[in-house]
Amino acid sequence: VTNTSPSLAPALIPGSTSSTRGLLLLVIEGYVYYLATILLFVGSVGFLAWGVLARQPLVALIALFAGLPTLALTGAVLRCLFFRLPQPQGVRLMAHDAPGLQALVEEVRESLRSPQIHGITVGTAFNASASQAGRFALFRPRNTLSIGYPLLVVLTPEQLRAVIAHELAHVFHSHGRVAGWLYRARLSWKRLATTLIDRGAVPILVRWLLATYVPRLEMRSAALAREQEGLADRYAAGAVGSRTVADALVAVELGAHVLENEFWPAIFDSVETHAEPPQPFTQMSVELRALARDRFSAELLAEMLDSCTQSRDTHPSLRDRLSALGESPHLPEVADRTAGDVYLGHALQSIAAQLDDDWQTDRRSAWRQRHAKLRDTHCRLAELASVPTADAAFERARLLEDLGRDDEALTAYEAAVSMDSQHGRALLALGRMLLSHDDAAGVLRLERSMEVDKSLAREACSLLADHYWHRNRPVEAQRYQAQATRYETQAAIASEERATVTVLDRLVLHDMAASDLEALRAGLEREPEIVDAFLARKQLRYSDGSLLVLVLRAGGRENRDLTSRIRATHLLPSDAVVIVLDRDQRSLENRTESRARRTDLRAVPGLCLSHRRLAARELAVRPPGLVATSADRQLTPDSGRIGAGQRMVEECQRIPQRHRTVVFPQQIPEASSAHSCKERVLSRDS
Amino acid sequence: VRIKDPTAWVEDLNVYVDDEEVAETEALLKPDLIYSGSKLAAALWLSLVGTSAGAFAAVTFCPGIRQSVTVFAIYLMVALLLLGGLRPATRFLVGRPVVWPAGTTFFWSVLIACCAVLSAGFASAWLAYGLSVGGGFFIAMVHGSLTPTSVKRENEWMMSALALGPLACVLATWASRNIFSDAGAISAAAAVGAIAAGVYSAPMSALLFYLWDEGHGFRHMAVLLLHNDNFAPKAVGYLDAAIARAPADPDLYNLRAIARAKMGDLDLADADWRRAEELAPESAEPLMNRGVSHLEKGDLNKAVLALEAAMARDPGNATVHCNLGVALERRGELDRAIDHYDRAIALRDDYANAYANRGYARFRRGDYEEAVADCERAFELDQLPSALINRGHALKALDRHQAAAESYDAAIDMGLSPALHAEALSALEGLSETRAARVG
Repeated sequence: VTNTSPSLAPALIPGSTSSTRGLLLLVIEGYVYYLATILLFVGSVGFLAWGVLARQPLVALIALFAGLPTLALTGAVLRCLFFRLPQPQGVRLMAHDAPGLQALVEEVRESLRSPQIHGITVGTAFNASASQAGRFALFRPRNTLSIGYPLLVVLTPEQLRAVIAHELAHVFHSHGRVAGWLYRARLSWKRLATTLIDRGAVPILVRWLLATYVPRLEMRSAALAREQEGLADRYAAGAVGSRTVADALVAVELGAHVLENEFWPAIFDSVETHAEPPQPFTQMSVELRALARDRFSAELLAEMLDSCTQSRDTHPSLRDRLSALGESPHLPEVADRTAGDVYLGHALQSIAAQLDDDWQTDRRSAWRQRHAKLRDTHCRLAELASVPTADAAFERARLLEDLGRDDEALTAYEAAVSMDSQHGRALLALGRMLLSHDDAAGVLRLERSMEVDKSLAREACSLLADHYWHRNRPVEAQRYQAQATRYETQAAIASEERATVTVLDRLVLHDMAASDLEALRAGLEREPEIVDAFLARKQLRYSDGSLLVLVLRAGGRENRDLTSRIRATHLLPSDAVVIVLDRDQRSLENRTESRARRTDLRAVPGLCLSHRRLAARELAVRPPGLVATSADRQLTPDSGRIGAGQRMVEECQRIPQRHRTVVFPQQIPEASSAHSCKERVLSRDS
Repeated sequence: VRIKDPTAWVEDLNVYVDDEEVAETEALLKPDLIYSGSKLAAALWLSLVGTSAGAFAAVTFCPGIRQSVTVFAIYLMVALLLLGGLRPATRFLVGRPVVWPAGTTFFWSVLIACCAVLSAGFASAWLAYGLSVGGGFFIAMVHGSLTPTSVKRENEWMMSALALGPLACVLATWASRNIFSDAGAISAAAAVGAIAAGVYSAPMSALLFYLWDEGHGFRHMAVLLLHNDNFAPKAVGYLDAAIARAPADPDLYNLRAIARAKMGDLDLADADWRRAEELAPESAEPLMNRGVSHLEKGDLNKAVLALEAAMARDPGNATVHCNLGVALERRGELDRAIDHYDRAIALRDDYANAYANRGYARFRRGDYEEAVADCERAFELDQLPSALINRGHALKALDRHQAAAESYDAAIDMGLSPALHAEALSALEGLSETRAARVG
């Protein structure tokens, strides 16, 4: 179990003094760095304050504009140092709740001559921990023992005794105290890094420390934490025998695996059938034991033994711990009478009920929402099952895919395509699913989806590019990636064009019917702030067709909602563009006003809403599709300019292309090449 | 020492810029392109901004502002107002396209005023006037070389700056020595700064709006968009607007034809080239570009004919020779192609593309060592990724597979147009195939 919480990562061994001293020095070194970092920030604030107080104009100017952000950053850096470590979660046991367990802990404590335990809690993880925290943790810590509820329902009484002995050994050596201190030091650095990176202000000093000092600190503290575990294991072996400790270690490892991978997924899956959240801890006492009996196997044990200790792990691997104890791995027995039955008896049920209560409170609303959504999905699926159209099959497939029933979804997509071979989205989804099942037939479906529906091309190309990347076929991947980018750019240009009016637009006379125009006029008159209105038809450049454009000039300050109010009247087609001119769009306004000869927007006839009488103006509109040819100044041809044509040839200077498909070991760093291009352009631009 | 213009790449359409970058740059520049408000008002506003910036900068160096807390607090308030209020005030009073010019006016006025005030502080007249002239000239030279996007007449811009910079500094120095000699007084310092900055920024602002050329801004934008084929339709939009403003500029038709050819509208492109030819009958460029479009379409004979016609029209044009070389090389006439590349290089000895292309032709002819040398020279001259790819081909032919792979990789890392990217990738793939076959 690798866990960075202080309770699970005790780090110091008083016995091995040299490494203890080394680590202590390392932590103190860290505090020196931290102090330097704080001085750096406080110093810059002080310098700026000095500039203002000593009336130094240049420093004061910097203080004027950078003072507040620097102050805020300094505050944030200081705040990184002050935080409370999380307390162990779970149900606190009172002395009368569990006399058996209290007696067991007391007995083990005396046999190890360990300090007093101030409290016992029952937590939710398949784990146990001892924490030594409190306001004066270094001098007078509160020792808390936390035992996971799942341990109580799976472990035998002897195994639980071994676990408790292990944890009390940590307490005896005050591991938790310094572990908490170390953990706090590491967390401070992590918080500092996050704070500075979020604000985009990491000084070089801190950057260097994060790259050199912090990894060193983590490595060393993890290494000592592992030594620590070994020591606690030995003490526990001395108290209860090494065989029992080995069995307990194996049982905890396997049990945690079963809990995470079997028990909890089953609980969360039950959202489909249960409207209310279940009571997992009450169920656990029976079901987890049954699961353990069923799943604890030689294969699982071999799998668990397979993992090796990594340099950042705070706990050694199971294999290493067992060999340190000199014991061989055995499959642990799953007792009929578990530790919980023996030491807690009936109290176990009330503890489970309390844990359930907390668990349900946290999740109730999300659970209900999810259940309702799934219920609706099932209803809709039932409705769709009897509708024999391609659209219905497609929707059904999508819902099935949402539910994670991939095989049924695949069949449904296939059904949709067989009903309508032109159904682009079904083809796309089918292709995507086939590719995710490593079926190359998906490529054809995706190609087909692009043919029948151009708007799907971008997504299809991205999927194909991903597919070929994973297949290690960079040439094809790059080809599709380039296509995807092209479609994406085209779509962005086209949608921008549909939402804006610029001086580049080709505007022609609008063709609105007189009655509609009259209605529009009446609608606009109801908005008192409108001063002028212009209506025209914009011929689209980047997609087919044209759009109606209504440009408004409004008085008053608050005309943000004007556009949406006009739209809400439904006097214009839904795709029409409505623009309220602001100062930034003066150019448009000027085209409509002063340069009447070249005006592109035509006033709505008869639309005189204010003192500015639009109808009085004679506006010439150029015929559709032609570029205005009048110009107010003649420019002499600039023959000295670099010929643009040469570049094209040089760009297309070629070599025959090859399309072979081979296994290609080299991943092309797509992102980095794009990045380098960016840098290059920027540097040239500057 | 060859000094390269850092903005020269904008005019070189061989440089590929990726989609995201093009879109971002366009969004950044678009709002500043068109200004059709009152030019007089804008120029007056910029003059005011410049003059107050100069006064403000001069006051910063004046010991008077440090004498009492009140005066210093007032100074800081004014600073806050000037620096913080510049952008919103400009937007509100004259419009967004003027925000950027207002910022630059502020910056250069501060520099000129600082230069004037600091040099006027010297007791020796020689030193004071000498530093004024020198500093003013230097600042004006840097400012003059950064022509605004909307100004096409770069020479006028540069010459005016060079004349005004020293003049403004000298006038301010003279005023400081003869009229406002009270060194500690705030009003004197402000007056000196205002004179320096006002004399410089007022005529420059007037010039900016006098030379403001929307059509040139559109052209600039179109050229920027032509660095990526996906934006060709948009480039056409900008060029349409530019041509509407300057219908007799052959360069604009030429660019629009290129954009249309990139979109595949070859008939429309041809019409534009014809128009460009009519407007500039002596130029070989339209013919050459028509040849290039044939070349791209794969119509090699037509391409060679057009390019030869272009060569007849302008035999001293290195680009035409280089392009003709490509057409001939594709037709398989390698010796003739190399001959044309040689002539292109003889006409322009730093012509990187000609070296890269000759490298490829030599590679095809089998002169691998020479090909590698040519490609390396091309890369040295202009960091061309195509030179690296061609070098990779030649190295591969020389059985230096590791070096070839490195060459391809380096090209890919530079960020390539899709066509070149595909070529580099398939070459790399071919390389690993050859290796695998050999190991097998």
